[in-house]
Amino acid sequence: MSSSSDDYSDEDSYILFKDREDWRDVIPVNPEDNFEHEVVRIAYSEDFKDCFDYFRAICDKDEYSERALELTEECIKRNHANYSVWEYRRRILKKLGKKLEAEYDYTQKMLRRHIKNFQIWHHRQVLCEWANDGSREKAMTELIFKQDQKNYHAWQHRQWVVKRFGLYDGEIDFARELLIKDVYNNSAWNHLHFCIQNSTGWTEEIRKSEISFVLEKLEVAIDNECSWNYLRAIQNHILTANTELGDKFVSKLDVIEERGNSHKHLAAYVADYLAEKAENDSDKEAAEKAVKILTELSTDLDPIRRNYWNYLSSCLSAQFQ
Amino acid sequence: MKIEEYGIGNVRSHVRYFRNILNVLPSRYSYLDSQRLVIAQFALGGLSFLGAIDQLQNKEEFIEWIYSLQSPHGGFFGSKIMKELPSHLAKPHIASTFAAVQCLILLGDELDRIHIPELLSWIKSLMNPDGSFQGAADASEPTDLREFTYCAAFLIHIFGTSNFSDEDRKRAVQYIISCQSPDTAFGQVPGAEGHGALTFCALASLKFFGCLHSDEGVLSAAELKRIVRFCVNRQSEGIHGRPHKPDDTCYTFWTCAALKLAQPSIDISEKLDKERVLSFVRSCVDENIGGIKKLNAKNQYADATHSYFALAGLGVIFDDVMPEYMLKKDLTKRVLRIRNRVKESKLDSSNSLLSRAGNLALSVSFAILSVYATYLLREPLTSA
Repeated sequence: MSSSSDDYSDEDSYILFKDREDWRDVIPVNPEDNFEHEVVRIAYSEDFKDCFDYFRAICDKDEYSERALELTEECIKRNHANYSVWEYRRRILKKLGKKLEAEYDYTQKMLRRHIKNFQIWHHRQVLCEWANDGSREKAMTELIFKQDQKNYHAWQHRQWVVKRFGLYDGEIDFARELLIKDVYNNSAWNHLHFCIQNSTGWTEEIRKSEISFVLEKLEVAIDNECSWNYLRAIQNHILTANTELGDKFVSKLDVIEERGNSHKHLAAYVADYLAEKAENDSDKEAAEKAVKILTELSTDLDPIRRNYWNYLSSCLSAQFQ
Repeated sequence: MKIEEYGIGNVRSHVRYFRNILNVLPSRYSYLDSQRLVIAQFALGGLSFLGAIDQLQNKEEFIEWIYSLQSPHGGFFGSKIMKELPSHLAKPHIASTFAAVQCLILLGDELDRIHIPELLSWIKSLMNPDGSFQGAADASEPTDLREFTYCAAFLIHIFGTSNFSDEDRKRAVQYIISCQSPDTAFGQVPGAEGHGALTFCALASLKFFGCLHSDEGVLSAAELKRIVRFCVNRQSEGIHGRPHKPDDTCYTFWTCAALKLAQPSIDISEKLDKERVLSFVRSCVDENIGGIKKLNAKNQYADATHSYFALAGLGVIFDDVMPEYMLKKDLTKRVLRIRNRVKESKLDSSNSLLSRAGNLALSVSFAILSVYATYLLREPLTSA
């Protein structure tokens, strides 16, 4: 309920369909209101009722025409989530054999206004399927990213297009460039993973280059949850544990004298690594060290999650008593 | 837990806020027309969380209105405008259907006027070969994990699985697993970014399908641990849904409910800083109109979605709300009773079939006759 739909209210010259010369042959259909106690009744404006009464009439007539297309646009303006109107619009486009150029422009205009609307994004996807063409979608999603870098729909659309039409070329670089601009953009991290997963796969070579990429990014921002999550995801693609990397982070943490809130993710990574080592090798010493770090997390590094870290530490202690 | 202990200010002003929504919305909310049932669910659910639903007069009329939006072929429409279209365009929606059933439960209805066999075959028809669900028939709506799988799982859980085979269930579960993100949360579709709300949808659906913390559990202990980590990391003061996104009151429900489902044995307050979550939500109370805002900013007003999910989230934190049902605990007993009744009535009908076994010969000849009749009827149709 956060966006409003009053983007048509400034149209002074707007003429109701009932007053339009070219609509005189149509009798609007107004479903009788039988319920005195409707729930969430909406005080529909006159133009809203007018549009939907004529929409109902057009559907009853099964009319597929230019004026019907225009009517759907007016209905969509007033409720862009009405999926039946969108469905009817698509049928009109098909039956009239319309060129899709104008429709692409229309959806782009609509998307920029309502970037979180499911139906418009879906419509756009259908257009790409019809045209069997996803070539303009990357540029379009980039327009949306200018408004909202983490827009979930735009990312989903981009991934769909890339996968559907095999447009992986340049995508890894695109994600990396976004991360160079903003290393905290979790959507871009996810996209990087998506592209590798579906194109090259996690070969030995790719894993190595991705690990050095993420290490570089950790140099820039050590306490970035996204980078740590990405590192863990890469490591999940390897069956054997990477002790070299784990040990490296253990020493890195060791040499930091004044640890604080900005070392919480490093400490959590090290605690996880040591706890895992303790479990796999029944290494009591590793367990003790992990418990120590978890305690430090709960007291100094990440007190907002103190209960959680305490819980992990008590589980681990109990296991190695 | 008494609602006063949530500390969200004047409870009466929140009650007034939800009652106003139930009553009439100004014309600028016309764009919500196709989701009126969902808004009704938020308002009635909000009143239920506030312990104020029994103050409602006209419950019977509300129930009538909701049933008036049922399709004879199964499912519910979000509003009359969506329903009163020619049959080739009128398509009930899975989210509206979920909302309708929630509203009916909240209003004390026994769900005995739901067309169950039609509902179940309609849900089945929405299932795609990959195990995902469409929101409405014929791809007029996109397919994703959003609420669609969750809504379907909830409805199947309550109304039975008679035409939903074990193989169907496994396919649905497989799809959910395919939506797992690299950070071990869940996204909207395979490959999408991990997200608190979708992690809730995934875990709750797995629970309804019997695949969470059970012999058939599909998530390993290590994965569940990672999910818990993802959820606890979602607290900065209040709760958000994705790394480095701002806190937002609706995630008080989504993320906390996911956390509770991932590790039900441990209280939420044993993992999160409960006081800080509470003070964030309290800071988002709309002092002017009641209800709860998305975040604490000057240009924000309370809205139904955030008011509902913030209260539901507090309910989860105070252990008053059963996360997978999005309902107060005292209502889930009734849901289980209804579920058992539906089960028994199905058993009754199959028992009565068995008792007719004596008339087997007659049945068989009737069956042959009807197959023949169908054949006769179909022949001219197909050749036409």
